[in-house]
Amino acid sequence: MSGSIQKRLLIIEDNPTYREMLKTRLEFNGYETIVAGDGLEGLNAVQREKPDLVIVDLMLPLMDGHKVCRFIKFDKRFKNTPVIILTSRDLDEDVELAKSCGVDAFIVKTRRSELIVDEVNRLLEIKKE
Amino acid sequence: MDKTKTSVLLIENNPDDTFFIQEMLSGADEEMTSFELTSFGRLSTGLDRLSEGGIDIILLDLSLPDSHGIDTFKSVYEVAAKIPIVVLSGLDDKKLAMKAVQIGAQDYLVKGRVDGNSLVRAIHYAIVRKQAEETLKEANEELRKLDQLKSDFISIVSHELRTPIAIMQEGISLCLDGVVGKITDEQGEVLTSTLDTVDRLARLVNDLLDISKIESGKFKLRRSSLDLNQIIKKEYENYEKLTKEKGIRLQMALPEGPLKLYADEDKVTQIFKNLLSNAIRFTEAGGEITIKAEEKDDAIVCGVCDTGTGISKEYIPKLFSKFEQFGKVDGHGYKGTGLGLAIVKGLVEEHEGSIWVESELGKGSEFWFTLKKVPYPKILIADDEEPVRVLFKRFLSSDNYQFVEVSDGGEAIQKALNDSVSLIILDMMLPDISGYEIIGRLKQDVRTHDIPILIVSGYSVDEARLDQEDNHVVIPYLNKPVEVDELRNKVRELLMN
Repeated sequence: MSGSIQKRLLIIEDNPTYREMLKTRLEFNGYETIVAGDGLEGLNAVQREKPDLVIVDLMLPLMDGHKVCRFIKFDKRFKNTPVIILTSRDLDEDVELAKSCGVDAFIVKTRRSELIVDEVNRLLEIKKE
Repeated sequence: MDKTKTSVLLIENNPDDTFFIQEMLSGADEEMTSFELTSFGRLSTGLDRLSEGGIDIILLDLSLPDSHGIDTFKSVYEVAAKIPIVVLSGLDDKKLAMKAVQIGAQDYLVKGRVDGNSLVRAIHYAIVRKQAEETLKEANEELRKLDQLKSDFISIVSHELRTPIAIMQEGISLCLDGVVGKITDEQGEVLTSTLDTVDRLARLVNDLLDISKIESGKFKLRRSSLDLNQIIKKEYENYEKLTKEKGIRLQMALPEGPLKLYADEDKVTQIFKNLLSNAIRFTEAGGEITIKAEEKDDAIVCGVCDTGTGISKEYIPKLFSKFEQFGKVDGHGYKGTGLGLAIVKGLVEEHEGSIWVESELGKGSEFWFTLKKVPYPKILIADDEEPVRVLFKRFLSSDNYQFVEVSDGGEAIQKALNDSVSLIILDMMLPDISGYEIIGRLKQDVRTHDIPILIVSGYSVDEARLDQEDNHVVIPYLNKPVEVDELRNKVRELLMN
């Protein structure tokens, strides 16, 4: 069957306002979105919904973003799911830790959302190949 | 008025000298203080008494039966903590006494040239001076702690500010982009200028974080083999469009060949970006900006030169300080944060370089900086097969590393201990010791446990055996046959961190 199936993105972010805005922006760009407000809920959502891409913040209640990313990347079922870390913390140790978890992109909040959309597009393109 | 008692510890083995000092101190008719003298003829017994406490000052002869010269002083200084030491010197060894003062003694007295008054005065002042020293040390420590707290505070707050700023940016963008409904032109204008200001806030937060990282020394350069020529060309391309739009001519003056440097690519790029965007801000249409670079002795000298408005002499001394601004706001209300040059200075200095400006009002400015050429890291290749070692060297040749080769485990450990290597590429099947044992020994020795190790093995690596007691040592490994890119990337990654 041809025709593009709509891609589904999971957003794991604990600030509800920011979460909603991201959701609005990504849906405007043609994506279907699922949201989660903490790390545990996020992991459950990954397993239940099997999204095409995950956007996760580092500072989350119940389980931080590094752990969530590790779980995803070290799970045979989901290791090919692109993960974008979208966070306000970008100290050297955060970036290094993220890299060691196998994250695909590390974006600091306050980079414009066009960049986030571009990264999502780019990573989903690569995955297709 | 109560008399205070000053407890004096005399370590002197000559009985005559001891007698004279005893006489001088008991004869000193002090209104405010009397002296209590205890004396010992050997360093060991003197130190024993010292450890019992209650001593206000030490008078020390440097040549004792059980210790001589400057070592005598050092032995006492090590355990004396906040107690002042006055060295007693003979006529012949004043030089030694002066050396002692250089390394911590409060004063020295020449035996035979001392009378009661000068002895008492020396004791008083030694005590007072030592107290002043200690107070100063404590004040500096307090300041250092406060400075660290300040940096931590800036870091925490800046991180906290990002999410609210991101929300403002996103909310306004959603309106401007029509995502939440159509807006009028007027509304668009208001929102655009608001967004510009929020963007400026975001930049300020980023700059604050950079500056606090630099100042708190929490900065780690992540160096790799670079070609500065390539980096400059990339920035040239990045800024070409902007300069064309502004009617400014952007040029480069670079040498033909590569400009090799072992430095932090992100930070060096940041330096150029910062200086270039400044140059663009301060240069009008019809002007010119040139990026220059050349090798000079043990550094690479770079310059960003413009024919812009220039800077008047009075501002130049404060140019690289924080939050100094020179009021140029261009069309879109883009205003600098006042931290840019302070950050650039910090980044240059982290690379052991220096930065300076030559400028004339109305003529233009030239920002010059140097980046020191530090030695490339030394990699130890431990493999008993020569063809393998040759292959690895070839794979890594374009990264300019230095190499040390060994063919057995014993040599590998020796070199690691003595040769300041930055990374070890280790074959697990060396003829004399197993790879696991080599790793164990290296990780247990404090001199080598921080050296990153890359296992390159023909056999699968038993990860459980690599776990050393409680410190789960994660050692990366590659399986033979290795590809050139795999090896280069892994090596670069391990060296960077």
